[in-house]
Amino acid sequence: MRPSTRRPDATRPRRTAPRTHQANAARPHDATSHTASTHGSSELSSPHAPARSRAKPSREKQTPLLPSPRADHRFARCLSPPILPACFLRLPTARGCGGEPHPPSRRRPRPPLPGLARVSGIRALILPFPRRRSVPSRAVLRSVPHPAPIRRGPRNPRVSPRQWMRVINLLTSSVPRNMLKRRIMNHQQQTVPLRASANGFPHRKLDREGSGRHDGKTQLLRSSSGGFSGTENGGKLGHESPSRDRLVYVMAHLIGHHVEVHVKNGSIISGIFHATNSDKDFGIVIKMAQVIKDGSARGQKSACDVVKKPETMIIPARELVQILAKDVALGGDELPKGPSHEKRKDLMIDAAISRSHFPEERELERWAPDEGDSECLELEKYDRKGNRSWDQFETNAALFGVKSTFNEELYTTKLERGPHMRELEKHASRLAREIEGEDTKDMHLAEERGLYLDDDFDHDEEIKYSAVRRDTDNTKYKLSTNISSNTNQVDPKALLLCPSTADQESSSHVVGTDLAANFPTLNPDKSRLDDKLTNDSSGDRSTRNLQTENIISEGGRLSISEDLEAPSSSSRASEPSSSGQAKKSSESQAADSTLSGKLPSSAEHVNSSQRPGSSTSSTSERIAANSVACAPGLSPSSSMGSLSSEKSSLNPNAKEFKLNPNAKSFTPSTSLRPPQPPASDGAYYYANNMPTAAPLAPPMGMGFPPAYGGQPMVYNAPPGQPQGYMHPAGPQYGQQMMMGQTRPVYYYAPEMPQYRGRNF
Amino acid sequence: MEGGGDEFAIGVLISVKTTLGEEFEGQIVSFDRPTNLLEGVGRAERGERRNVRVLKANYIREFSVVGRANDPLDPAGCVLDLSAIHAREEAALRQAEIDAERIGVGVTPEAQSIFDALSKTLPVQWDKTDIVVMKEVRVCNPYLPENVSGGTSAANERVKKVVKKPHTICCGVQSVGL
Repeated sequence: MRPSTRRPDATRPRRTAPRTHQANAARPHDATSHTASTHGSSELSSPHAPARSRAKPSREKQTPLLPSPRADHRFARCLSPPILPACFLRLPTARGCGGEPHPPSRRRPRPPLPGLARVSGIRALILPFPRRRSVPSRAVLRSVPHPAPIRRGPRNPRVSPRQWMRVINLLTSSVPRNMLKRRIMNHQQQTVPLRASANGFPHRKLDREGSGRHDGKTQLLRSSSGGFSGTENGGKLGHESPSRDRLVYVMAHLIGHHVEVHVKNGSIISGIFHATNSDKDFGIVIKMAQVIKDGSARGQKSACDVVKKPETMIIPARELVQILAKDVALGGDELPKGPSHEKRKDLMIDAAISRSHFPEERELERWAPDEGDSECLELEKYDRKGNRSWDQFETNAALFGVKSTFNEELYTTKLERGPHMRELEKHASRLAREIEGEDTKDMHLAEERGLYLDDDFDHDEEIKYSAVRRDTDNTKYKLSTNISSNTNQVDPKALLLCPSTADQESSSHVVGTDLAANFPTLNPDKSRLDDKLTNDSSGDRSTRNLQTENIISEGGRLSISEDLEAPSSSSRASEPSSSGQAKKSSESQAADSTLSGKLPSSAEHVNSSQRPGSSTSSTSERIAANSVACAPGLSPSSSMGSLSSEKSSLNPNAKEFKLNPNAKSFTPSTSLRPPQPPASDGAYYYANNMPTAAPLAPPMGMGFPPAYGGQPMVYNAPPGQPQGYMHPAGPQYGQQMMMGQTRPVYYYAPEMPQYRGRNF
Repeated sequence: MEGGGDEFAIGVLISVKTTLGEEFEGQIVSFDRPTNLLEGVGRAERGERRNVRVLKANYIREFSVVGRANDPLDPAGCVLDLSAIHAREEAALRQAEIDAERIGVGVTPEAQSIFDALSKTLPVQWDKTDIVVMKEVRVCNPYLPENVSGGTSAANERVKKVVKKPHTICCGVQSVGL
């Protein structure tokens, strides 16, 4: 090495131009740091390590691994800002051991550099090619030294002797001038894309760290590349197989993929491919890696023994045997589809986002419309008065010739637009203000009106805005005392049987609501019921309880079905009834009476009547009641209605119904009479849920399930008289179901105790 | 160098036996002498995803040329979309993190299988070696119905049922007197 260095040194013509050129390029730190930002020359110059690696193998073969300039250029284009670290091998594993991860090919020891003279000689050597046109081998040696970094000392580790070796070899070989130039150029070119493309992520830290160390090389390449940046991309340099290029390309494509890496000792590591050291020998970094198969001498114990947390692993090239990746979308003909395909995969589902802690809180910016978009965004144009300036009817008529036949008065009360108009308006608005300003206990109304209810912070959004009927805190608030006494007695079994307390409460809530709503109709009955119950309350409870439970459940069902149409009503009564069903304390009874004093509506009677019933001690009834209450509230109100309309108490002493085949068969007439009040419940029910079944009398609801259940049906005479309205669901029995009110009673009586299932 | 000129050729279909005992067939994408890395892609329809294999040529025990085909990579169309690559990697990492959380550290594969079974229907988390279901119910080691504690009775029952079921999902390891 020494002689060769001397030789060029002696003959080297000194020129200023190259020197300045070198000087410009000579800030290694800048070089590396700017690599990220600039294409072209900086890119070309930054990879110093590749030069070194190149040096090593090429020494033997002198085979330039040249990517085609076009590819080169392309790579340079693509791989823009995040330019990758000089050499990730700066990581301890790869390098720290002091040796190079390269296969041992270092033939000669590092020549000691005797200081400046040597440095200059070396500089002469490493000179890149400032000018393309005339690059005689000697010219190559034109040195454009860069001062600081190289002036290190005898053993300057920064500039690898290998590199020098290579250059020297090149220079001294008997390669024709052109070839030489080409080779060196190739060498130059190669460094660029490889380094840039292989690593997926910029390891900026490494970059900075490594920059110092690679100063020498940096300028080496920089100067060389600087001269060649223009030419390389355009020049047609050979048709050497861009194997390295391809390798890098493939590796780059693997980034982010799940790969399996086989290593020398037989282990298989699986993880996400993160980076590779394309500068050197393609050691790889795998993230979230786990050893799948341990091939170490410890035996073939499966990795299933202990599940370990995944970690980032670095696999040096010497350990590497094989990298396997499945279903990789390589470039080429699938390019247009490729990115979109990937993007589809990359759509993050909300669950994935919320589960992972990956994206931290983002600074949210208020959306502001872009310039010029404001026009388009006007869906509704309002003029100053707030009246819409756009008349859809006019537009429609103009554009499509559609004439509107809308007449407001068809749908609403005709306004008397006369002299008294103004007065009437004022009056109306006054009334409206009054109503709207009313105090209300309903949470929703209060919120609408801006009233401030006692702000219970337990009210989360669900309670406030959910459409599910639940026991609102209004009632709880009122009856809290009562409830607290009652809740103590709550039998956990009862709760168990009911799928959820809320469910129960909701149904009972419904019960209460509906009872409240129903009180006009039920009043007479309720009073009767009340009397009956209060009278009997002291007496034998068991049977009564049974009945009352049944009543309650039926009442519940009734009200449940009622509630389907009654939108929102004060839930005042709901609580007592709901809690009533669950509780079984005798105190409740007393509380009931007090309660009944409180509650204004006649629903009190209902409540109080329900209370004793509710305070049964027998679990079974309660369970039954609960199960019924918890049942989906689509029970036919008809039965309930009729029940309640009759002496809604199930008269256990009533004669059991026996089928009378000789009874006159009833055929419904086509004009279905409007249902009577007692059956109004049924009507409501059907009106809401089964419009088709509306004409059918209440018994219909009850009839069906038993029909399906195969229970004895109430039908007289041969059923072969399918006249009149046939219910779609039960044609045969439909007609027979059109009976008077009395019928169902008898029919139901035996059924009630047993029937506990859904009616619809 | 094994195979000399053949290995250089791109697009050659080869069948390779490695020193590790693997055999595979593929099409050469490139061979890089300096690093001794051979890349191949598995046979698949054009344009579809393929299995990529990067193999160190040292470990090729024997190989044979099966055929020749065109270049699997289209040099003109090879563009690297870095942003897409970044995005893909991020997504993969995210997913891997999520998956990793589902794996307990230092737990037996049995426990892991119980965890997986539970996680199919219930939200479960690991707490050291305890499985915490819905943040309430806790299943301790050994993962038997008796070790289920906490939570509402309904939840408790549910978890117990799942734990009681025989672990047919496990990676082949049977519970032996756990």
